[in-house]
Amino acid sequence: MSATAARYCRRGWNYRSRPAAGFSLLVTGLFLLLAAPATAADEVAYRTVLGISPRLVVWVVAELHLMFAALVLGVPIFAVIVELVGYLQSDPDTARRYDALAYEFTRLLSGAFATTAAFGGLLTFTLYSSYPAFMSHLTGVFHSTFYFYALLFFAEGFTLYVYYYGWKRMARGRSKILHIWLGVQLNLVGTALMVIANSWATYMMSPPGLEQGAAGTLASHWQGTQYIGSTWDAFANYLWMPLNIHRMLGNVAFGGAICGAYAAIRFLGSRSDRERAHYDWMGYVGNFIALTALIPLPFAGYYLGREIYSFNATMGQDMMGGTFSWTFILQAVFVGTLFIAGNFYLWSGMRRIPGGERYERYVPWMLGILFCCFAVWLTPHNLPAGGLEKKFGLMPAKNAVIQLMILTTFAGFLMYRRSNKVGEVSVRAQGRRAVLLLLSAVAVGAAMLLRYAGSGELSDANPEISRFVVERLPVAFASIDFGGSITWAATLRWTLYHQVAWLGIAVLLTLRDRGRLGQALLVGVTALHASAWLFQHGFSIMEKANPLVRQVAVSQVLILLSCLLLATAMDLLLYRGAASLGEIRWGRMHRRSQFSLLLLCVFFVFNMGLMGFIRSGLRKGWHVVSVIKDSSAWAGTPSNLEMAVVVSGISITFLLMVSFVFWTVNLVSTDPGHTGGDPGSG
Amino acid sequence: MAEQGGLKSAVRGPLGRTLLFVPAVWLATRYALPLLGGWLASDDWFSMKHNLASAGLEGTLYFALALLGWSCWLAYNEQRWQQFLAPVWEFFAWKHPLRAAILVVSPLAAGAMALAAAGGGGGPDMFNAIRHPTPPDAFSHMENPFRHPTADMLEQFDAQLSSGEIVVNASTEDELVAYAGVLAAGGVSNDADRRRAFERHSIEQGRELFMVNCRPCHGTKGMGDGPMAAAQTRSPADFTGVETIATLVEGAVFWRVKEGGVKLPREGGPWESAMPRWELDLSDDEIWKIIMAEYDLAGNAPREPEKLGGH
Repeated sequence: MSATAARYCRRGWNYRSRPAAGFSLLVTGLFLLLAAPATAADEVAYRTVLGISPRLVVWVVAELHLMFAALVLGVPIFAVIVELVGYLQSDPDTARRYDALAYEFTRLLSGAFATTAAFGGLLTFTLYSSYPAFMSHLTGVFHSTFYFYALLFFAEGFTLYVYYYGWKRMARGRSKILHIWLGVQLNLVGTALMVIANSWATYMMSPPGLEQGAAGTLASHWQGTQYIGSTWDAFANYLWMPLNIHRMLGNVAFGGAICGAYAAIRFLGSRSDRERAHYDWMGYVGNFIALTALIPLPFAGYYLGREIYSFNATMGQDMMGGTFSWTFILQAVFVGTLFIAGNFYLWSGMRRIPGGERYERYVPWMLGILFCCFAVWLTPHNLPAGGLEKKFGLMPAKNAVIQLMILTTFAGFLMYRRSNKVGEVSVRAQGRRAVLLLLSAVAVGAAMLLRYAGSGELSDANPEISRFVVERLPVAFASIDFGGSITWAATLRWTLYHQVAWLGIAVLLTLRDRGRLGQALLVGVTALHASAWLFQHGFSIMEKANPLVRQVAVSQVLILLSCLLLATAMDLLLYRGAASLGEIRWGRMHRRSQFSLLLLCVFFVFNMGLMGFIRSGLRKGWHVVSVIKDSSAWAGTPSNLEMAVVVSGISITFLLMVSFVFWTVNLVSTDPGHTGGDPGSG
Repeated sequence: MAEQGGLKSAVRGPLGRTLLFVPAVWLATRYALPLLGGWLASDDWFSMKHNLASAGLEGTLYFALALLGWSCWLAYNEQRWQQFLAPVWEFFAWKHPLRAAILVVSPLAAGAMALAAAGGGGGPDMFNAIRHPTPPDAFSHMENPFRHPTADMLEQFDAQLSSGEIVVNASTEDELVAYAGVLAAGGVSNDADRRRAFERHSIEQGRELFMVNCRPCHGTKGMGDGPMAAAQTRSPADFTGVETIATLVEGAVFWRVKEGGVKLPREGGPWESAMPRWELDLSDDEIWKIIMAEYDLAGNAPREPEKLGGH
């Protein structure tokens, strides 16, 4: 224990007691919440918080709680993966370094856990004090889930204690396996906590029994503003699962970005090459994790958005084309910046890899593609009669460019990975397992595409689909006459079949030792399918067969996923055991690259604050959409200016608090030797 | 200042390229972009119909992005970054009165340009404008009764057709003529034909109302080019294409027609809408029929609420 930590202990503030302090606060809050029905007769519907707008206080506290929660749920996911990777290493030095990195990630977690719990408790107090009538309703609907939540919180706390404090005791042999298993349990419990809390939030957005066209079900769930349906119906409400998926991926990306920023700050303050090398490696891992989770995040976001549209078309319209449309432009700026910052870090790192200069000539092209896509991605559709937004402001354009941005980022990863590799290794020569891996990847990709192509969503047997017929197929500069008619769904099906064929061609080329060519062709054809063709074709469908627009987006996602899956499998095999031009020179990075990691973190935080505002704000004047009106004096949707001020305030507060928490963590030890030191080849 | 060789290499180096790139992109975003907008919107390079205030905003966004992209290109490579900075440092070390002059004049010029842009732009603040205002909740879930008629409405339709109250003549739509023929012959037509005939009849009625009330502004084909369109600050909505009524559920369109520009919410403007409040002149049924005719004229279908797929 460091002298500073020892001082704290003497004063009665044991640094190990912080999680317990926050934990007890949250549990107290939860029990207070459970007492809600006892005070339901309270006539007061709303109270201020010491004279301050309760909406503002709840907004700030809830968002800060959510940000810390995202960190403590995201970090253990990759901490345990890094620990497992270390455990599987045959070289003891490499295994030790991975283990030390996983420990360092978890060390950050231990400090943030207490703060999350403390904010959870504060949020409970605030909600219950400020919105007693509404909280009484929510308690009436969800009280049975509160017990599970509280019990899971015990499990989360105790698992974390044993996982973190038992790290060194369970370092070897069977106890290490037990330790990794504990890490997995920690994640499972954390996920369970998250999905319970998500259900409360999404119930307010999409209460059951209100689905469009299902008026008959209304009576079975509601009596006036009183919910009379089952708890499970309220729990598994319409937007619950989309939000679960989105938050799960978002948490991992968020955690990775924050760990990357932590490493960047430590890198910039490093006093020795050894320390710099360690934090360079840690920053690389943080960025890798953030980008890996960021890549599927737009798909999850699209799924959530699509389901919001499905649940309530007006809410969807408000989100993308109405009241919240400018905030979505801001979101586009943030998301674009995240891609740019992540890629910039990768490009900057190429020079520390012997042989990386061979791939530098591609960087300006990737940069150009990313920025052109970024320009389309942020083109607003809010302006009257503008020319560019008639094309670039609509969903087919947005969906097309985000596929290309993801594909370009992926291509950057591939180049980074092969920077110091020479030659291509024959996959056939690697034996049956390698061929099996390749075939499994193509089988999964093809199965996804074929399953969707054969599903009811694209079936001509469905009269809702077959009524949209195309005589001449409009393309960019001409039109193709079929000499007959096919359905619009068929054009999508054939696009999917075409992609399947190219997956096969890529595999065949790989098995004939032309894997690099196969991979390049696959990435190129995917760009043509998902971005160029479905960009133009998407507009035609939007105009002529409006209900099929969502099928275009799903097709794009599946095409891209099939490519990412197979190209990754190919890449793993093509360079396995390939000759190396030298080890990565960790620590040999310019300082600007570290600022891109910081930028990544800051934009993640701001974006999360912004999207939290949008998700919650979409309810507009309702506590529970279309059922319980928010009749308080603070019910109006905040202006963009107010949103910007509050979200910025929250984001800056979070960044300051998380910096403070990490600083306290480092009071225990600031010696990089304690956490692994030089990463070597990584 | 650097010697001649140094100056030459600076001009050819990253700084020189930057000095060429920045004005070139500014010119492109200022002048080429509006042409591209015109072409994308109407296949006409020089069409100014679609280039109102928005082009300036987009130009600014794209220009900022281009500068950011260029900065990334300069910064990711250490060698290039140092080459870019070297002449800048040399300039600061340059012992010449011109240095002081440049250091004084540049910020003043930038300030003057910023001031002119802030004060002299005129026009509404587009950063508040939104595309689709939120309809009041009551309108969001409305269904067009003439697109989804009840059995009573269909029976009444049959009765009117049989009694001659609905006149079928040479200008009547084919589906309606065919259905009237089947009905007159005492035959039994299937439900789909009956609904189709009813829909075409509603559209026919709606079209007549549209031509009288809406055509002056929205044009014969609903393209926003009626004879009175040019007199308005903002062009009336063009119903063709994918971005106006095609992206809205019918309830939202009904609200816009019924309550007009005057009932648009304060936030999200400036709307500058000349849309009359049609509830003062038309019944709800007439408005629904007009809406059907608008979609029909534009070759569009209303946005359909998605099918809910369960959890």
